[in-house]
Amino acid sequence: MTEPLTETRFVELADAYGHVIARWPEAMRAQATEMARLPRMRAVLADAERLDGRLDLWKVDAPTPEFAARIVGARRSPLSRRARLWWSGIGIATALAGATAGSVAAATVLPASHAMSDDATAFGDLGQEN
Amino acid sequence: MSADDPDAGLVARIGQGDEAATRLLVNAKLPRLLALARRMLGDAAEAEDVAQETFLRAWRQAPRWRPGAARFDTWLHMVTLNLCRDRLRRRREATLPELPEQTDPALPADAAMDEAAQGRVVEAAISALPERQREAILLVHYQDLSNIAAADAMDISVEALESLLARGRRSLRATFAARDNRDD
Repeated sequence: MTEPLTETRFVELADAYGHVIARWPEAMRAQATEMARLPRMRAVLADAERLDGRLDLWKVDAPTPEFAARIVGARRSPLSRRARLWWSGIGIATALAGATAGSVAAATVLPASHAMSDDATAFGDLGQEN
Repeated sequence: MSADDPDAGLVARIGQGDEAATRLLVNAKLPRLLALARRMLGDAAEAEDVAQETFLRAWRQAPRWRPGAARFDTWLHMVTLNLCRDRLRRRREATLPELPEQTDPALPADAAMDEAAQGRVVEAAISALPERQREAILLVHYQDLSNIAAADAMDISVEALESLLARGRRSLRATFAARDNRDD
């Protein structure tokens, strides 16, 4: 059963969530919308709205289309940056080995234990975030 | 992912390698996640790094995502928040200031601040809040998360979230009031 909304609680909710009742706890919204018709509660919401309006002045730039495309592109590329660096390191090592020893096939020097981690990223191995 | 998660279908398609679904998710989520990181870190380049890392994790997570308590959108916010916290912690450990210097922006001579200057005043005031109050306000006011989603993302109770919001907003009111009185 929904707890009855008191005027004190209405003020608390406006203090915490601001003047947009849609942001308030779902169970309180219907009663709050009713109560918001009272002049005293309208004043409470108007006060909260002044603060909300001020907060809205802080805007940040939207992502550029190029950045968004880069993120989509990262989904297509199966290799992370660290993995690519790792593979390029193997290539260089192989070339050097080839220069000194004559002929070493790159594929044969890759140890099985170096299988690429699904979680390898530029920032290190990353686990599930639950 | 809760049963009524609006992103459930999209996440399942991404898990199957659907590129159109990938684009849809990026278009839908990137602006909000980037904005959160930008407001948390105060640095555009670092915010891009965090947003990119969040999506890299999402791509890996999608094929193995299983229904659970939180929505995918909440999970994305939690990842972004944690990545930002890590960076802020590293800044503190490196004895650098937690945020780029937040000066109290000077008023233009005619005292009629343009919108960008007023935005910087708000940024400075929010950046000066204690970390948890700042996060609560960013998640509820700017990210428009529900109280339950914001509390989940911060791993706190709804009651604790409400307390952080109320204290944060009270602080901001006092900061703005003091500033307005000084300017009068």
